[in-house]
Amino acid sequence: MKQVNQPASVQDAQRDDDFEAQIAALDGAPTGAPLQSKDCVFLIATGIILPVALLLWGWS
Amino acid sequence: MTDAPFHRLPVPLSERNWGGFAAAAVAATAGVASWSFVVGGFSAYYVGAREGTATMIAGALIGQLLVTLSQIPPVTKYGIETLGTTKPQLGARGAIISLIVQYAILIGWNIVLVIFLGRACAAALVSLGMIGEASAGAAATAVSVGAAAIVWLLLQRGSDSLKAVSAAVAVLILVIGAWMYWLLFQTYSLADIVAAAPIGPNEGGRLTNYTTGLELLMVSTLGWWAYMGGMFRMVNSAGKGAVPSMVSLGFGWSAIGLIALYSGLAAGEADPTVWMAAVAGPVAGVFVLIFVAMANLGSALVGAHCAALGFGELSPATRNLPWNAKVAAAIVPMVLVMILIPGAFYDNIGAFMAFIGILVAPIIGIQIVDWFVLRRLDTLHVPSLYWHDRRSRYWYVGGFNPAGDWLGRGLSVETHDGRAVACEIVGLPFLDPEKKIPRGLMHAAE
Repeated sequence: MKQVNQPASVQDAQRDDDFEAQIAALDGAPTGAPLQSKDCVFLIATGIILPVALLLWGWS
Repeated sequence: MTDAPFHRLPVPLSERNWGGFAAAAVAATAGVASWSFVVGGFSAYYVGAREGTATMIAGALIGQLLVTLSQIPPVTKYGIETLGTTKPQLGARGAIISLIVQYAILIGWNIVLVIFLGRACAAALVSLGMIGEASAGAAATAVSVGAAAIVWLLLQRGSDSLKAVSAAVAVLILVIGAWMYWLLFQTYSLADIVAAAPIGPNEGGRLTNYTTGLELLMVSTLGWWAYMGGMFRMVNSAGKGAVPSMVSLGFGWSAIGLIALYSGLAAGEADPTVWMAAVAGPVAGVFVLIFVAMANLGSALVGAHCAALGFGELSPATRNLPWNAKVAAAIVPMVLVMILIPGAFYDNIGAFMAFIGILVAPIIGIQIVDWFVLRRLDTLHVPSLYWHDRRSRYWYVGGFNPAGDWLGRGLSVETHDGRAVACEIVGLPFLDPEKKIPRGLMHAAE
């Protein structure tokens, strides 16, 4: 309730401060797993080998 | 309690709860829509059934491989949106270029989808005798605007609405898609479809038309780049993102597009709402209309969600806007085009697809090199993506990353005895391309 009675500019400043703190906390945050070898094999198979095979079949 | 569906910041790893199936369902919902029929119909002009099968699937897979490599690694590693992934390359402010590109793709395709839906509904109402021919245009516009309103309502729940709607729509798409294939091959024999000649091939010969068919799908598929962040930032590993990306957005949309290729060749009509109603009666026409409505609304939902997220990442001012205002920024331009110039836009889809390729292909190429050759994927500074001032490592020159902005930059040169010497670039090129020796460098201490 205290926050409601504050001027809008103060609320904005507080919100910006909170947001800045959240941004700073992003540094070093846990990250998702990168592409693994099996993922790369899948991408090569579906993105290169299969298209080339299809194009050869379609042209023949 | 967090606001994961509306995140202004990267989605934390602990909140990325979409598995491979959810991601595949959302991607399939986005990928399969009327644009599949539009692109399949275009292909029928240049290639026959066998050549078209090869060029459509191969083109989509090649295009989606490039999109996957440029987006899946950063999006799934850091939980960021597509626009954010371009800031290291274009600069904190320069990313407005990618916002314009992303916006044009998302809103452009959304306009195509809702106009297609409006016209299909109007045609059905006319054929059922519920309205006259003279009212068809107004009815089409009304349905299109209504579809935009539905998208707006569904997006009130942010990314949760994508997950909830997509599972049901994806199943429906699979069932009706299979039924369309069955009906097509019941009506036209495989031999007739294979023997049918392209509708209007180029004069350049078979190779020219073959490559045109391939390019058509590659270029169209590159448009998925704009959707990737919004769809896959809720996934917590690149592997979980790569498979749905290739299967749903690479193979899925081209497989549905093949229906339009075959019907275009055999029946001279790529639009399933027309040929299926003609061969299977009005009931089938209504089912196809439901399919088109569900598929197009699902895709438009994903597109508007991604556009709203991208708009929110543009600046501190847009970042602090309420979610509804961001959604409005994605929906209002659609509605204006649908009301003011629907015909002019829809009749130039070919130019729109070329526009996509010209704008997106360079960005995708730059990103792939940046992630995998320059290894920026491992050193990405996430806070800098959200600072819009000099604190950002991607501020460069006034927030932009101008080409050739090398003068004055520092770098470290390793000497033959293993010492690292800090230098400043004072002349270009700073590496002699023939003798492979550095030039135009000054010791930083001098």
